[in-house]
Amino acid sequence: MSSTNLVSKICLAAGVSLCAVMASSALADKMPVEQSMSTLEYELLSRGDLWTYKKLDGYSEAPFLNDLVKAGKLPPVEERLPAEPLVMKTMAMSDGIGVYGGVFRHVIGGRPEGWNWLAGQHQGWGGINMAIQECLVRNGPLWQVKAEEQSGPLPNLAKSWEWSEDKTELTMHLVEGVKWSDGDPFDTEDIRFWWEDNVQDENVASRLPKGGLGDGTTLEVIDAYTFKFTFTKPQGPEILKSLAYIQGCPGPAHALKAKHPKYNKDASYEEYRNAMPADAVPPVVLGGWVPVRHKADELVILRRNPYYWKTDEAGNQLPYINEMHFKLTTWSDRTTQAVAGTADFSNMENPGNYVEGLKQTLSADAPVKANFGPRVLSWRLELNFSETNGVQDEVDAELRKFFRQKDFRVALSHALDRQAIGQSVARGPFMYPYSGGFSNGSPYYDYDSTVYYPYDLAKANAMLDALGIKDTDGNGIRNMPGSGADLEIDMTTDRRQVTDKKQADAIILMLAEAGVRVLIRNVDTIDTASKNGDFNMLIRRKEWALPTRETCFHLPIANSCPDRHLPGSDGTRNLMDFEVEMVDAYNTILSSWDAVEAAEAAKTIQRLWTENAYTIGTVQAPAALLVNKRIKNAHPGTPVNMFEWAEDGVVRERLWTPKDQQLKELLPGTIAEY
Amino acid sequence: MGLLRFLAQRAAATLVLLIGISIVSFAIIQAVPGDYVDMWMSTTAAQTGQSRAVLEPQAEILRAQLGLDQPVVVQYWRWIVGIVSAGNFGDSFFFSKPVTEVIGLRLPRTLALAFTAMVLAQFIGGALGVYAAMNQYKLGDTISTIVAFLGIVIPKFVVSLIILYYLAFVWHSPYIGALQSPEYLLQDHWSLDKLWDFLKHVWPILLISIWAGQAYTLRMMRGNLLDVMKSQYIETARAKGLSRRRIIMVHAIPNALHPVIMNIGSRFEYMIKGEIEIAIVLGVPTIGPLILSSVAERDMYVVAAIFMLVATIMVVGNLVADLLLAVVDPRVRQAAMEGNT
Repeated sequence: MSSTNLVSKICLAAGVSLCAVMASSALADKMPVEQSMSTLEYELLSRGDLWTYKKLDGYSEAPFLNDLVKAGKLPPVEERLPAEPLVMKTMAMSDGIGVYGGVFRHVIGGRPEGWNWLAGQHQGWGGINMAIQECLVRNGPLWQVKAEEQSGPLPNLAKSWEWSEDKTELTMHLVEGVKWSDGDPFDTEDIRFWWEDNVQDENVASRLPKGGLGDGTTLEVIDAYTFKFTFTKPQGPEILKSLAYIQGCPGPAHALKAKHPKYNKDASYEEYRNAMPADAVPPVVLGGWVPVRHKADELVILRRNPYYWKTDEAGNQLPYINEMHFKLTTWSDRTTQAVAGTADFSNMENPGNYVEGLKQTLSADAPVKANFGPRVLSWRLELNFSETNGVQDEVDAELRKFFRQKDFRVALSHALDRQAIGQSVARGPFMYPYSGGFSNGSPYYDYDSTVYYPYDLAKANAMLDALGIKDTDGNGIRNMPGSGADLEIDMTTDRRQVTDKKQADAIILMLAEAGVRVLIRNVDTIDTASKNGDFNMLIRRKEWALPTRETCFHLPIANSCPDRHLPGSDGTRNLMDFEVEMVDAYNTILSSWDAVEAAEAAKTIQRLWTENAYTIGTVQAPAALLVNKRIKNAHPGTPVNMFEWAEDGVVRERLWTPKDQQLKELLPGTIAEY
Repeated sequence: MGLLRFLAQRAAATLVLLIGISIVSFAIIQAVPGDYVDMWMSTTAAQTGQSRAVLEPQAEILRAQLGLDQPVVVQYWRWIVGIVSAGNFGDSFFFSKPVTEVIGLRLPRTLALAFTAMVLAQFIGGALGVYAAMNQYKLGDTISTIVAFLGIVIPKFVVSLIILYYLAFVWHSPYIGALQSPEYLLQDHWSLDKLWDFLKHVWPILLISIWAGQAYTLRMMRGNLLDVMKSQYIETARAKGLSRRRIIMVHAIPNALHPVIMNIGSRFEYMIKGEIEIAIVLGVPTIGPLILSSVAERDMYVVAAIFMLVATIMVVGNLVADLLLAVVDPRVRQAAMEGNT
C-alpha cells in the first residue's frame, strides 16, 4: 500500500468518524470501527518467506571486493561465506533484488560510548548497534509475519533449535562457517565467552542480566556449533526473544579475552568495559558494516563487512550498500534532515508536526516519503492504585480508595471528549480516540475485546454522584465524602513533551466540567519521576505492542512494577482481582506453546484492561517512517517500533539504491583493515 | 602599586566567585532527580524490554564503577581536587572519555565563533552607527534604526528557527547540522575548498549573532556620536574651518568610540550566550547542544565543567574589561581604590 493511499484512507476514515461521533452517544462500550484505526491493514508473510539457510550455486560480491580478492587482500567470496549462508528471500523484498554500491546516511543524537557491547556499552543508538551487532535470534522483521505464525523470534546466528520434551532444555545450532569481520571463525567459544565471562560475571554490566533467562539457567557447549541452555523450570517459546538485539549478541572472544580480568590479571573491570574505545576503529564485528572512521562528536563512517554471512537468492553477498554514515548531531535534527533530504532515515512520531511534515513529504519534489506503519502512538492517564506508597495524607488515602473503584475510573473516562483532545494536539485527521490496552497494529490487539467508555458528561456526573462524591460546599468542585476535601487530583506531566502538555490542558478543562480539579505537577522526565510511585495521576505516552516487551510498565508481574501500583514500605500490596487475572493471562502467554491459546490470553488482558479502565486511554495516532526516495526495499508499512526499532525492522542489509541515484562514497574501494 | 593591589583584590574576589560557581554548578545537576545510571536504566529498559528490577544489579555495578555510589560531598571533593591538582574535570559517562576531551572539541569553536561575531558586530554596528548619526532623521537612519531594533527585539532562537526552516525545507540545503561536510571532516589539513565548505555551514550562526549583536553597538555609537558632535571642541574645530569629514573622522569618532570599547567585556559574554542559543536550534556542534544533551543524560561532570568554564570565561572577560577601564581611565582606578580602602 503506498503512503499516499494510506494517508487518504486515514483522512477518509477520520472524515467519517467526525460525522459518526455526532450520532454515536448510544454506543456505550464499543469504539466505532471507523474511529478505532482497526481498518489499517498490511500485507503479511509466513516466517519461511523471509529467509532460509542454504547453499547456492554460486556467489557474487560487491565489485570492489572482487578487485581486493584479485590483489590477494581477501580470500574468495565462497571461502568468506558459510557453507550454507542465510539467504534473504526475494518475495519479502518490496523492490526485489538490488544492486551494489552507494551510501546510507543516518543522523543521530547519540554518541558511541565504545564498541564493547558485551560489557553494556552502547554505540550511540539510532542504528549503529544494529549495524555492527548480530544476535542469536532476531525480532525486528517479525512485523512482516502473520499473526498465526507469531511464536518466538526469527532465526539469525542460531539457525535452528530444539526443546526437550519437558521444555527445560534448549539446544541451539549456530550457522557453520560464519566469520568475524577480521576473518576469525565465529563459534561456540564466542558464545561461551559471552555467557560465562560477561552475562554470568557479576562485575560486568552486560545487556542480558545474569538472571535474564531465568535464575539458575546454565549453558553447556556441545561442539563448535552447538550449545545447550538448561532452565530450572519449563519455558515457553517467548523466552527466546530475549536472545535478540541487544541481549543475545555475542562479541569477539578472540579480541576481548586479553582485556578481560579473568584472562588478564593486570586488567580491571573498568578497563574491560572500555576495552574497545570509540576512537579505536575498526572493531571486530559480525554485522553488515564495520566502523572505520570515528570523528568524535561529528561522524561515524562504516564500510561493508567483506565477511558478512548473508546473501540474496541470486547469491549476491549482502549488504548491497557499501557505506553507512552516522552524522552525530541531535535527535531533533534527525527528522529535520530526513525531511530536508540530507539524511535517509528517521521516524516521525510527533503528531504536532504531522501537518507540516506531510505537506513537505507530499510535494512532488520532496526527497523523502512518509511510510505510515502499524506502529501506533498512544497516550494514557495512569492513576496510582497503591494504598500506601506515596500517600502523604488522609486526602491522598481517600483518593486512592476511589482510584481503585472501577466506577470512578469509568466516570473519568466518560468525562473525556477524546475528539477534542485529539484536535488540541494536531488539527486534522491524525488523532483517534484510545481506550487503553494493546496498541492498534499490534498482532495482539483485538477490536472485539476492546471496551470503550466514550464522552458522556451527564453519565460521568451521575456516576460520580452515585459514588457519593458531591459538591457539598457549592464551590463547583466535588467534595470527597470522607475528608470533605475538594476532589483535587495532582497530575504529573513531562514538561518537555509538548503533546502531553496540550492533552493535559484539555483534560483539566474537561474534568473541571465534571467537578474534578486537576493540578499540574511538571517534571523533567516522567519515567524517572514515576518510578517511586510518588504521584496520584500522570499522563504519558506508552505503547504496548507485545505482551512480553516492557511488560513491567504495564502489568504487576513483579513486586517492583508497574509504577502505578507499587508495594508499600512493608513490601506488600493489594492487587485488584482483575489485575491478578491479567497476570495469570500473561503467564499463559509466556508458557504457552499454542499460538492460538496465547492470542486468546492476550484478548483476555485486552478485555480486562479496557473494561476496568485500568489506564484511561486518551488518544492515539499512527507513526510514520521517513525514508529517502532513493532507498529501495524499505517496505511500506515498516513500523517505527514494534518488535524492534525500525532500523532492525526494515532489514538494512537488503536495502539498495539504483545506480544513477547512488551518492558518492567517502571511502570508495576500502574495507576495515586489522 | 595601587593598580597592583587593585588587581590582586579583583583576582581574589574572582577566585572566591569561581569556587562559588563550582559549587552551584555541581549542585544544579545534583538537584535534578535521577543520575546517569537512571538514564542508562531507562534506555536499557526501553531497548531490551527488561524491567528495572532486573536491571538494578547491573545499575549498582555501573554506579560503583562511575563513583556515583559515593555521597555528593565526596563526589564534589574528588572532582575539585582533580581539577586543581591535575586539570582533570572528571570523565564523561556518556562519551566514556575525559570531560576535557569532550569539551576540548567544542569550546574552542564556541569561543572562536563568539569572538568573530563580536568583532564583526562591533565593526558593523559601529559603522552603521556613524552612518545613522551622520544622517540623523533621514531614510538611512530610519532603516538602520528599524534593523537594529528588530535585532534587539526578535529572540535569536526565533530567527534561527526561521533560517533553519528555509535551509532545510525550502532550499534543501546540505549544509545543516554541522560545521563541515562529511568529505572535509576526514581531511586533517585546511584547503581553500575546505574553508569555502566551512563558510557555507557557518554563515547562519554568524549572521544571526552579528545581527543581534550589532544593534546595541549601533544605537550606542549613534547616540555617543550625536552627543560628541554637540561638544565645545567640535564647535571649535568647525570654527577653525576643518572639513566635516576631518572633524568626524579625527575628532568625533575616536571620542565616541571610547564607551563602545569599554563595553566589549560584557558584549563577549552576550555573544557566547547567543552562540549557545543559536547552535542549539541549528544543531551545530559547539558547546550549546552539548549542554542540552548532557543535562538530559545527567552527564554531570560535563555539565558542571561547562558551567564552570563558561562562567570563568565570562568572569575573566569582565575582569579584563575592568582592568582595561582602570588602566585607561584614572577616575575609575581612583574610585575603585578609594572604595576598597
